[in-house]
Amino acid sequence: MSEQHDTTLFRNLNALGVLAVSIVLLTAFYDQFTGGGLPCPLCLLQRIGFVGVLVGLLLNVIRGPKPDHYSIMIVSAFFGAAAALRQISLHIVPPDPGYGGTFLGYHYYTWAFLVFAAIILGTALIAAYSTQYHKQRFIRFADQNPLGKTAIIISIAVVAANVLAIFAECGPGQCPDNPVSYWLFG
Amino acid sequence: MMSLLFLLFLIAIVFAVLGREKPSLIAYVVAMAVSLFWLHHHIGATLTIQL
Repeated sequence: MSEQHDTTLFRNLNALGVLAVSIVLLTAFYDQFTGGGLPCPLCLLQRIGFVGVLVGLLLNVIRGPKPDHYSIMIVSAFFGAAAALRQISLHIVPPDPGYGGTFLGYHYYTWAFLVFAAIILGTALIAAYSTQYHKQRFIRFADQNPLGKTAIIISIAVVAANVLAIFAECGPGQCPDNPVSYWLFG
Repeated sequence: MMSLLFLLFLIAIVFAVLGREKPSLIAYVVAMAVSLFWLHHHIGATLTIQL
């Protein structure tokens, strides 16, 4: 396989990663608006972990894969995993029912920890392919392939929606530990 | 405050899309540092209650 093919392959893999992480954030959104459960501060910190992973993935899609972009992903996933593990430990002692809804039998923060662990492992493995780091160049949005364009648009939309939703929930101040209503709507 | 944090990450993403890697990294590092403080704040508060 040529170096150019390697570069394109890994850019596309990172674009798929952007879509996967966006789906995770959209699932959290779906639960927030249909299940009625407002995200707690620790839940928001886990979302921040996912958004940080998005930054690293997008830099790989746009500027090309680089070790420091993969470092951003691992640091962000480690941060998110710490927040998720903290929340698991808060609710681990029976008969605590846990916080918020569940998906396939696990609470969302447990899923978040598993996904962050998978991101750390996957990133460490993919970053080891050194041929992807050769002949990197900036590809502007207009010149991206359809997968890259879709990944960029969806990620910006998801993060912008989070900015608005969290401002509606918490306002300019600190988020309450157990939120019951949106700050913006009284 | 938390929405400002997400706004910082959004700025990092927009700079990344524009190909401005250094400003993107600066926005990311600042946002991550504030996030770490936030996480520490939560863990610290809970430990105080337990102790």
